[in-house]
Amino acid sequence: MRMAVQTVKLSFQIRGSDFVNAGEASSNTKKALSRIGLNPSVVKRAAIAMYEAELNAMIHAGGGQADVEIFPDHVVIQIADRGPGIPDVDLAMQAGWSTAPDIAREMGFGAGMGLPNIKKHADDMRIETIVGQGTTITIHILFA
Amino acid sequence: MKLEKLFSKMPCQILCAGSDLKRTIRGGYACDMLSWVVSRIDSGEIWLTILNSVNVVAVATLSECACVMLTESVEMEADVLSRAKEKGLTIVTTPLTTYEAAVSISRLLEAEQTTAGRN
Ligand SMILES: Nc1ncnc2c1ncn2[C@@H]1O[C@H](COP(=O)(O)OP(=O)(O)O)[C@@H](O)[C@H]1O
Ligand SMILES: [Mg+2]
Repeated sequence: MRMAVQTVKLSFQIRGSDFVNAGEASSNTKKALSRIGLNPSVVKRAAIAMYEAELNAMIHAGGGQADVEIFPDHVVIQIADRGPGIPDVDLAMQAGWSTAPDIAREMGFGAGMGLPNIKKHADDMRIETIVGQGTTITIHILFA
Repeated sequence: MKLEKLFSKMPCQILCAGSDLKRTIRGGYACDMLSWVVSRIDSGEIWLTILNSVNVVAVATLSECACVMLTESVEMEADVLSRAKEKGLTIVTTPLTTYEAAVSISRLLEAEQTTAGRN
């Protein structure tokens, strides 16, 4: 007999171009992960990776949704949007490549380091994207 | 060196006193691009920047940096400061340029190390 694995699920709406509340989903997830007593470096990796994906949905895709599922030994963070999609993922993954608008740049966004940062901090990162339909980024962070 | 000691030794004004002014700092990180900061800054470091939007609060919180030092006399709006207060962040402003502030922090940390070595 297999025991059902208990997980904790969190869900957040990400509003498009909402620079003021940007990062709230990641910040709340960080708190939840800290509360269960995980290693701070694991919490930080999860928070940074999620922050970049959350910001991308806010800046590049008119908003989206974040779904977090916390398992006993890892967390899965999924950020989905119905934005324009990414025409060339290899190019988007390159450090420094950015199509961020000037308004975002003036606030310190648009370094073109978001996707590379996610890759750096996540144990696994998947990008599903269809031009004209949207993008889903799935991030796995292992606890040990 | 403790934050509050550092503040007493360089020209700066506390805009928001965070939850831990006795926190020990080991260095700094100077950058105005949020993605670089969030990924590179260490929790014992001071973030030197001219950015002052509410996103600074988000990045400082996520990265758990020791303090945000606004350079070039940059100010921060009241609503941003109240958010920083909620998060327990320490924000100061200095008339120094980012370069001058970095040099000044570095000298103070070095001087303290030398003194500690002599004792
Ligand atoms: N969710 C998304 N929807 C559409 N385009 C995106 C999305 N995420 C990233 N991109 C594209 O990939 C580029 C690189 O993203 P990133 O590395 O995060 O850098 P930045 O956000 O600083 O531009 C963006 O400028 C944008 O063109
Ligand atoms: Mg980005």
